Amino acid sequence: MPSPTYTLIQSTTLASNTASVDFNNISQSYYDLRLHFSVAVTGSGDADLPMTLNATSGNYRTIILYPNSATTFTGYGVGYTGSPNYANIVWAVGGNIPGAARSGLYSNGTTIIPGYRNTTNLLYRAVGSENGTAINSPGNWYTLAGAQWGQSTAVSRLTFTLSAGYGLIAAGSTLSLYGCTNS
Amino acid sequence: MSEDIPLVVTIDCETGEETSRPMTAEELEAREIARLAWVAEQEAQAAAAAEYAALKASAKAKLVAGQPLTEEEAATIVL
Repeated sequence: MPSPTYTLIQSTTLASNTASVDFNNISQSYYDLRLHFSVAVTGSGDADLPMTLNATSGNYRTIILYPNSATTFTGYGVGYTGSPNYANIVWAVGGNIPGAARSGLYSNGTTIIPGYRNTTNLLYRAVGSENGTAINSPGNWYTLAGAQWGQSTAVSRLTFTLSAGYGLIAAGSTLSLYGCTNS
Repeated sequence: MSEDIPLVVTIDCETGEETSRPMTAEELEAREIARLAWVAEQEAQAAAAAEYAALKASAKAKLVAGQPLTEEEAATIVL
């Protein structure tokens, strides 16, 4: 039975408020990539942290599910049969608690990019789940997201740029990139 | 002042080198354009939500009063 092994590729804890974090020259020696993040934002709105692959724009498809009450989920992108051409993959971050101030609240989550070296399958699947429970707040919020990227090139670069209007990725935020192999 | 300009952090996963630089003028311009588009989108969403709420309230009031609804008002309550 496969026994996955995770190796830390690089990790950063931001010393200053930052607009964008860019991991480039990612090794092609792993099977999957996994990113762990603990991110706060300086803005006050519902925040998204878009991820682009290989600095390309377009050809992304994202679905997001999130709770809209104590008992129900809602979402967008679900059942979409057209040809969405988003500029990036979107994960929600920043506390993201409806009706609450988000500034300084940390969201903790993970993003998986299985088969990131694949060059024959057009659809990479980046699966992310996000737990927005803030470590310094009683509020909580989370989303489940999945995405596809219609490119036939290996992934060697991940860029996270906070959506305009949400402020900056706050100092103290940590992003850690791991490579996964089976031993 | 450079400390007011948003930073870009780049991590070279091959060498481990981490660098930080201020956004370029082009990046700042693109960010501002995106911010203005975001503000416009937020305002449009708020206006649409307010219009829908007003239609729904009007539909409810007319139902209670036994008055005919417009098609837009009916659409807010018909599944």
